Amino acid sequence: MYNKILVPTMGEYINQLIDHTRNLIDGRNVEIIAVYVVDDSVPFLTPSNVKEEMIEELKLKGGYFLDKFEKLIDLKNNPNISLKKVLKKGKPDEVIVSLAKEKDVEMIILGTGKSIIDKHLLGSVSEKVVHHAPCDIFLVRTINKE
Amino acid sequence: MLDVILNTIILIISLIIVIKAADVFIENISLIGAALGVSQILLGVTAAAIGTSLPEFGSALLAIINHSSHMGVGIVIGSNIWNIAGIFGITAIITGFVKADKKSLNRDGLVAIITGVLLIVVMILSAKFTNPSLLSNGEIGIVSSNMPIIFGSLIMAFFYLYYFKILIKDQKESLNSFKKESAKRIDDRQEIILDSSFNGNNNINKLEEKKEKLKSKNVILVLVSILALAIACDFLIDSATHLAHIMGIPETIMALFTLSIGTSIPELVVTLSSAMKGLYDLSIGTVFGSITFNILIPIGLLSIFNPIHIETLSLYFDTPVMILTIVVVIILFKLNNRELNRISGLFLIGLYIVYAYVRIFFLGGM
Repeated sequence: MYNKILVPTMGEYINQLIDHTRNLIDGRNVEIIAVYVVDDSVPFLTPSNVKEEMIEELKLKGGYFLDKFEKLIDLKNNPNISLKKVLKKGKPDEVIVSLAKEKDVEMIILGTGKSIIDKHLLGSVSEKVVHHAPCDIFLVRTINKE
Repeated sequence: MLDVILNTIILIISLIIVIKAADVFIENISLIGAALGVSQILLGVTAAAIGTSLPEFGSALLAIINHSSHMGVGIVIGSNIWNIAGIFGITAIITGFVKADKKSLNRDGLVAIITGVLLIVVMILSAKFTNPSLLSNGEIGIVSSNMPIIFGSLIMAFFYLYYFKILIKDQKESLNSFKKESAKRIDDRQEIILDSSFNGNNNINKLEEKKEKLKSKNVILVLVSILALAIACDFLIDSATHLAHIMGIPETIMALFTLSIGTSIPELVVTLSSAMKGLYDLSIGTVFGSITFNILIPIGLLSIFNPIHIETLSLYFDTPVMILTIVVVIILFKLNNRELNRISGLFLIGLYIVYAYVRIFFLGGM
């Protein structure tokens, strides 16, 4: 079970996500798809040059976090893991769900743990993914841990 | 009543046109600059510095040209107070966390304070060398049309050029280190699968010099956007003045609050959305960059060419409040490990409400 796992990362709690992913894999042969979604949504009246600058910055950040993910998952000492790193642009929840469908993944591992205030003010990607994901989801509770 | 509704609609529509026209102008002038071989770094820093401040500049310019320059000064000072207390406050309350990097906070924060102090010194000097005069609305103010303010304005313009030079130098250093490395890594490493919408391997090109063909479409759009900006700014100031007269609100109050908050919408959306995405440098840079530009260019530069009226209250109350809010926000950052949290945000909004209340109901003549 769970031979193909999707791990979305936004850079935060990356250590916890990797710990839980490793525990869940437990030495089996698994393909991990790590994804960083460049959120390109901006409010009305945002200057277009600023929007482009934001996308560029987020893309560079995404590349950095995906490399960090690769380093932390330690492929050298875990030959049972094969890793694909994906950088995509769009609304995080929609991209995660469509990628899960497209790649036919069996599980999504993602962090959750926003406070109630944050959830109301900022929204929750994990909550939206939970409602629309085509597969099982493993939620890593990250609140107050980092 | 119909007059109020009509002028409010004109004000909102012209405000949206001002913001969109400024956006089109910056986008196309950058493309023309790139086609003419202007450095990408210079274009990037210029677009970032004036991109969000063009609506304030345009409306302050039109206000000063239309002989209601105390409105122009009001827009600039009001925008700055709103940028610091209001926008930082709202951003901190919504995101719960705004982090400033040490270098930007020290550099931009210090420049913002120096700019504010420079403005007040120039204003006081000009007040000493000029006689109080009667403004168009009957209030006593100071007319600055003499050498001290021209000299002070030149110092302000040169100070902005110096700050601009520092920004370009820092941007070059940043590109030479992390950004370039990171862009190269994304371009080189085939195992990172990029979305097709990213247009493949173009990260390095975007950071390096590239010359594109000059297109007539960009030139036309620049001309059209300047025209739209000028007309919409004129309508904006005109509708705000009419609304002030109909509702019995002093023009300065209209400028300090309605126009300044309206023309600062780009700063609000950029600061808030970049903080929500964790791009704190952009968030902090937008606010500090904007307040520095707002003081040094609209007031500094325009007063060289056209005498400006400075209301006594702007000199002795609004400008000191502006400097105080900059100092307060820097202290809040410094006290909390260069972070603003929700409590700091609530404090800043509270500060703005107290300022608005005192200015409108105690000092504003309402």
